[in-house]
Amino acid sequence: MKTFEEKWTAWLDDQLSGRELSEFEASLPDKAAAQTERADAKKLGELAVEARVECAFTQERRIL
Amino acid sequence: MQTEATLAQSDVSDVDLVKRCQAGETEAFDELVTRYRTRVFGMIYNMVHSEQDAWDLAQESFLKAWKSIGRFRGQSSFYTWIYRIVMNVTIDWLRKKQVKGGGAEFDDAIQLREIDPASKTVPKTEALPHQAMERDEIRARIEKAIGQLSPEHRAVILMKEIDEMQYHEIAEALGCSIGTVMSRLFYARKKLQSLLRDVYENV
Repeated sequence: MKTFEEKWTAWLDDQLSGRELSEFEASLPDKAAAQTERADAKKLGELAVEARVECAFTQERRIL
Repeated sequence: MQTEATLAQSDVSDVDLVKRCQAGETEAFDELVTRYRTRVFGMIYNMVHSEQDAWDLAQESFLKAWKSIGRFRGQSSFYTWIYRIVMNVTIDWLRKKQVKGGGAEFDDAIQLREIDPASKTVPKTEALPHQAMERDEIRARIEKAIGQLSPEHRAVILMKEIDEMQYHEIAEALGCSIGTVMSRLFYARKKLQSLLRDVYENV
């Protein structure tokens, strides 16, 4: 049995499907707010990747 | 420029190199180090934000790997195996550093600046230098926020968001359950969202 935290993480990473997905979304008290939070988390992930990619290139140049 | 020997070496699989390492061939281990040192260094650097410490920890990780390669049974890829060693070494180091309360979390070179709220009013065509500065500021804010996470939470965020690893791969690398990985991701993301709300809402 997954905890709420585990289900939320799976939902955020698009890892829920079928019945598990519909049941989880139905259990959310405010789906609109949850969708906004999910979009924010994805945006944050993209920002982190962008920042790190640039950082990684800098480090790669130093190593080579 | 690559020599014929290094070209030939690069065609050898990790599995073969590991077998040769287990037979005591140090040149085979050198090749594995060459293959993975950039990724290993990058991962550690993202965790500790200090070039010198990252080099030291990478060296320590490879040394541990060499000492224990005889016990590597090939149940996972070599990279997953070395990743686990790297994470253990780095998280241990961060924990000890936290206990000692020593030092700043970042190199002095990484300076935090306030985001200039007026930057959005600059015409786009003339904003390139300013945009570059803004990007640096965002990066610094993200690095600072990630630095505020616990070592365990920092590790899962970097592995998931930057290395795009699957839950089971992270679990294997950290020696914990998939549920623990997902739970750590939940709390790490919540904390990052609270620390960086103003950043991502203004991008």
